[in-house]
Amino acid sequence: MRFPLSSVTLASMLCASLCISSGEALAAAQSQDPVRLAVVSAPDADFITNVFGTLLKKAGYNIQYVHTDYTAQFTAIELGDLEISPAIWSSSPELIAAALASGSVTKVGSVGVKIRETWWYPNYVAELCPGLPDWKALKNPACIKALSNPETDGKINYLGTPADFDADDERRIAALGLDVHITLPGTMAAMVATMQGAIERKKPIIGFGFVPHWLYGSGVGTFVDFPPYEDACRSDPAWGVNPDLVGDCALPTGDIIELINNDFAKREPNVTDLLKKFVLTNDDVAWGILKQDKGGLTPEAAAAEWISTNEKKWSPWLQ
Amino acid sequence: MVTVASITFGATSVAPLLRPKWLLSSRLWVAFGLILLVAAYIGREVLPEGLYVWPKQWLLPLLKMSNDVLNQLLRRSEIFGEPLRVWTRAGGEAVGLPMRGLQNLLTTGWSFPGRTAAETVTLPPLSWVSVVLAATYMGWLAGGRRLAVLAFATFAYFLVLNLWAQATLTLASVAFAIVVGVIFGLVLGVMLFRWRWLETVLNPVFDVMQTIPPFSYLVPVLILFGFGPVAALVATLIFALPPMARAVVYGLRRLPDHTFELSSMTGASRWQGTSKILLPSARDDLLLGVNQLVMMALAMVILASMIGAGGLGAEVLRAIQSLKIGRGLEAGIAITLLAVLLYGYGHSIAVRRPSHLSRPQPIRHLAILAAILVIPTVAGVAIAPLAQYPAELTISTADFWSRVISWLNGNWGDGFETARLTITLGVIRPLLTILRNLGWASIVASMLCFGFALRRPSLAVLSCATLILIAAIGYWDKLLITFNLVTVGTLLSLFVGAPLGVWAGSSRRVHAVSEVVVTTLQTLPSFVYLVPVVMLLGPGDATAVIAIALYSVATTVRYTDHAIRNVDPTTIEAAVAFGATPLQTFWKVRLPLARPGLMLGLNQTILMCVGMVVITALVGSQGLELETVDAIARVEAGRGLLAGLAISALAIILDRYVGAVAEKLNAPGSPRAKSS
Repeated sequence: MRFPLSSVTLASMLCASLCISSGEALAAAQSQDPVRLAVVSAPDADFITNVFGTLLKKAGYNIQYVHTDYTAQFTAIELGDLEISPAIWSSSPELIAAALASGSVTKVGSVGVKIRETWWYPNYVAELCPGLPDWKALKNPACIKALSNPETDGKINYLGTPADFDADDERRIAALGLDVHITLPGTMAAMVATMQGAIERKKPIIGFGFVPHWLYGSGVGTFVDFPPYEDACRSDPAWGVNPDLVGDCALPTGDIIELINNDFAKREPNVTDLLKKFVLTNDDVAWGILKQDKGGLTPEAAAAEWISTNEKKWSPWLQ
Repeated sequence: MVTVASITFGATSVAPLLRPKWLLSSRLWVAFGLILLVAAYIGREVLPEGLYVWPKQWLLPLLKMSNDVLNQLLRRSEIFGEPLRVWTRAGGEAVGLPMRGLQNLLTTGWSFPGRTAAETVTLPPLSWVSVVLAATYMGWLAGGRRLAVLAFATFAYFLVLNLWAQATLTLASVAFAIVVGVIFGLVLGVMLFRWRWLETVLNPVFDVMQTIPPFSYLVPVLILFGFGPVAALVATLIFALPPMARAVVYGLRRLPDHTFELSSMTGASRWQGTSKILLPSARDDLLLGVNQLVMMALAMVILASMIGAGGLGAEVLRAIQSLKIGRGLEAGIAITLLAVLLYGYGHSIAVRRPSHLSRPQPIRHLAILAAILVIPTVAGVAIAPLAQYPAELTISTADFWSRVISWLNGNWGDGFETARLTITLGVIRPLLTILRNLGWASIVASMLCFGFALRRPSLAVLSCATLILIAAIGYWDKLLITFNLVTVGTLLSLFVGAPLGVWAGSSRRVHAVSEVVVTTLQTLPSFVYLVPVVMLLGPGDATAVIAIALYSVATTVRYTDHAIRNVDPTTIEAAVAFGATPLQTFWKVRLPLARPGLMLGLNQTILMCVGMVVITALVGSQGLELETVDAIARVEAGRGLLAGLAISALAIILDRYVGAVAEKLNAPGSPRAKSS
């Protein structure tokens, strides 16, 4: 099974025999209208969504996974075309703000998974830039030369982020006085593909990265250590190594948050409760990603395996 | 086999206007335009900066305004006290009802939600055995053994590569979109044919529908039609309907007078005349339209899956986003196979002639079909392997393809790097610098001159007004970046495609091979090869140009092949008889005679490049195409729509100018020949 819709079918076909036994004991669902969850073709987010979906199913709800674009899901939750998204990365603040501003979406809380996102390099780059992961190593002329290419006028070629990420790279580069040219990848797929392509032929490269993620969290590379984030870094120029400019620090640690459509939340208060109790750790998600990337499992199969091995963890949530 | 695929623009071949007295000679206008460009380039340091970069204080605040207007319209406007979207959604659901039925039948089965899980009733979908046999049987009925084999092989591919659920879901939605598209296309086409004034209204609308990047209307469609297959259907129809309608008009217009006379002589009513005499007579041109419709509907499969349609598109996206290139390719090829098969069905049904030897036996066929559909499905309730194809019997070629990419990357990586640097530093950047140094003022003014030189004053004025508007919104530099990508992409495509097309045009064997390759390139979702290209080349302009060329080279090859092949053989024989060497025959006879077809090919190649340019935003290009994608990510639907319209304007202006040049070259007399 590679496709959520078909597994839903299978599940609903078998439902007559299976659902009764598991459904009765648990918090009863209010209705059998399908609860629609977004699946966005990313191993990390889809794992979280599938775990939550499986839990809802155990609580007696009728689940439907809808394939969408990550960006498009915000409009969908706002208009009630999707009920819940339990895997929203806090790193696209404009989309989240617009959805919340519409008045029909609520942020329930966070999944508990911490996002680390900053500059990332494959481990072999450390040999070219002695001193990494400390950011000051990027000022070493030999390091700059190794990471540059003829397109960047002798500057470090840094692989940036898709347009909707709030990476704050320009201010960081200016404030820390780095000699860096930003190459924009267009999409996350292109960003990861570029990094993976370079790793395969051991080409020197540095770029944006984040965890949890199947590549950036796989141990083949390391994050650059910038001065840790404080709110003052973005508001007070005097803060940090550069007394004249703001932005001379790393990004704040992010969250994976949960959004819910207001009408649905009112109709099904139990779901909001379950969403509040629903907590995963970084290790859980890393495990789920590994199962998909190396184990060849689909997100739903990985989620099913997590559910069956972690009963102690989730059974109290359904009480 | 799928034949010619293209974006067919409508009646651009308006008879050349009578030459107004005040127009100077063409050569003078061309010279004047060129002088302007050269002067602007030389005077870059001396002339006012405002002639090159649109001054900030003149910028119109249209971007923000469009966001507000669109937001107001889509989210807050009401009809009879209900929000607009309630109406559009109800309409969409009604139209999409048969599609949902088809999806339930083929893929998902039925589920009638009760109050609790226990009360929910479910029905299974058709057994895979039923679907394979029925498709094969219908293929045999419609097109004989060849189509039956094709149908069987296609469905077997879905099964063996573990793509059954996805493929049948896509099949259901695409087949339905095609049927709706044919119906709407026929109705629109006949209306356009009957009332000529309608054409002046709809022609520009069609042009925009065909050229505006789907990304830019994604958010409005989502709001109006909700999330899922119906929204995908609407997006597909916006894109795919115009070629069908245009093919109908074109076909009807080309009919000889006696067809119409027959229609009135036999006393046919208007409906009878149209449906029984006119449309069947225009069959070949209608088929070209259906071909386009199939291609375009399948080209939208990826995008459709981004707005909830699921299916093969979602599988491609998921595989490619986690860099499972092989899996992406498998699913992509499934899309190609579906295109070929669906066109095969349509074609066979359309060209089938009633046989007078054997009496048709519809009841017998229906009975056999019913048996095929019902028996395995019912049996599947008891025998699991009939309901669900056994997973042990599936294979995967994914590892192989991933290894191919890794091998290429490891062994030829440095070569790719050199190629990228050569294209970026040697071609793309210098050209862009030249374009920027020309400035908006001289480019607009010279476009005006060239328009006059082509004897199209209204085209010239309209194009210039549009370009100035684009500059005034603040999109001039982005327009240049996009135009530059299109230009380099077109050149690359011609450089590679034209020789291949000539080769295919002069050899039957090469032609057969090139047909398969070209069809695959055109129907394989570009996302499938875009990401491997990024892995090898990294993001940026060079990757964008190569991706554009990969897509449009198919069109170049096909049209060149077609044009060369269609040169009258007797003329060639005559040339040979006069003692022309093969080279002379080619350069002096074949090539000049093929010119109208070649110009059409050039035009189509440019349009394909513009069509593809929006996808390049996904691999880091920085022009207007980035605006459409970026605007969605920043929840500014209006800005996305405007950027999309600007791309559309670029496409239309290029099409009209190249078309006018072609017409002038082919003059006197012959209207722009259409080589299909």
